[in-house]
Amino acid sequence: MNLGELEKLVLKYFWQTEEADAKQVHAYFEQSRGGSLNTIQSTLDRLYKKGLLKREKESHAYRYRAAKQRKAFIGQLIQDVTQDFVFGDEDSLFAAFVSLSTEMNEAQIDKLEKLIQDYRCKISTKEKE
Amino acid sequence: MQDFDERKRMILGGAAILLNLLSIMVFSMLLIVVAGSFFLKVKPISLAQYSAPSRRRILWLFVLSPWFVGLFAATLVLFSGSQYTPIPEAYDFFHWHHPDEFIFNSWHGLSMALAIICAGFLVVREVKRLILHSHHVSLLHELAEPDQKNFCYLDADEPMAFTAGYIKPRCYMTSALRNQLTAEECAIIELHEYGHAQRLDPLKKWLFQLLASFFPSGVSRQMNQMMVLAMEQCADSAVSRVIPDKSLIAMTLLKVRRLVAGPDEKISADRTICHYGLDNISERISYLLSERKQKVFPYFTAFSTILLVLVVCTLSADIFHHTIEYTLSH
Repeated sequence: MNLGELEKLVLKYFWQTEEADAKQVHAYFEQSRGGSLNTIQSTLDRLYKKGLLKREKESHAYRYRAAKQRKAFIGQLIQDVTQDFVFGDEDSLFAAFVSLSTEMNEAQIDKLEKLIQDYRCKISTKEKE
Repeated sequence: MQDFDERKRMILGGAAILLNLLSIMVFSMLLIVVAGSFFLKVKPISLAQYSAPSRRRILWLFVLSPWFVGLFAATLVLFSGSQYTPIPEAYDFFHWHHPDEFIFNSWHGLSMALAIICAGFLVVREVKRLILHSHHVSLLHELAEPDQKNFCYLDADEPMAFTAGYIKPRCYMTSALRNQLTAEECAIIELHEYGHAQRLDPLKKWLFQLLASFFPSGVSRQMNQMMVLAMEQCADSAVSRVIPDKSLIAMTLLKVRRLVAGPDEKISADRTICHYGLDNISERISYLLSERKQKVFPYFTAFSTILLVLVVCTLSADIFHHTIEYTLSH
């Protein structure tokens, strides 16, 4: 998903504000950024179409709110980043500390823990000598 | 009149030399890809005895060899009959009959068109994925909070640590992971991720994936998995150069593995398939704790194999040319 500069700012605004209509959003950004009400309206519409905002009609105007809170949005984005280059059971392109595709059973984990313990014992014996 | 039509479909001069060069290169590459894939299927290469940096070099050599051997073989074949050749006697062994003529309406033209379509498709597909991924990463970066060491923290419930980005890779860790680790464990993860960022691993992974995509999918997957493992092991080694306690690094790996899996993931004993690529953690821990001396990059074997392949490709160009033309004319 692509987000423009203004879209990002508006999204951040909705993570701090429960809900607002286009006029309120425009009033907030007018001082810091300028821009017309039309620009804000089309930005809100794009964010709604991308599924990032929800809206309800109140008399003649829409009231918008964030579809996902910041944490959930970041979680979704992390999933997108990690899945972009995954084909079947392959690893993804990004370098993760531990791979998401790594599946291990309890016996394998126990075996690895024993391997580490043995290594520690060996090192401490060497140090004592 | 027929002669005039043929001339319209024919390219002469420098452009023809370039197209013939590409044509020979494509067939040499095809020969190497088919032979290399067959060799890997019949006798899977065991790289386990080599050190992680050596494995990386071997894998790079493997995916790059069709390109540079193909180009070198094509140049040798094409210029062996020209006035610029340093060894005119070699013309009997390898030559191209019409280096400065290229006919579109021939098997050369058809094979070139197919090769360009296939290569174009693979490159466009990978570049599209790269662009999409870059957008996701840049959006993620907007929402991250960098610390003084330029390590980016993300406010998320999923325990994750990773490096992403191509030109300027950045290291990320989520708050869910950081809150469950000690300061020492955090330092290990940071060093590991810095290791990836310093070597531009995400970009190299993409490039490797692109080059590997010219091989059959099974072979390409196997090579990608081997490269991922080698890169992770190199990053683990970078940590062990700063933190000498390898058992602590291994324990951190195992702890993070458990955290990433979470209580919902099926970690059961009924998994009977042991897949190399799915077994990264045990490979990494075994490699980290191993005191066995690893083999270094086999320079002699690698370069003699490349030389042999180059000779075969160069000599087979003329045979291949005659075989195709003989088959098509009968």
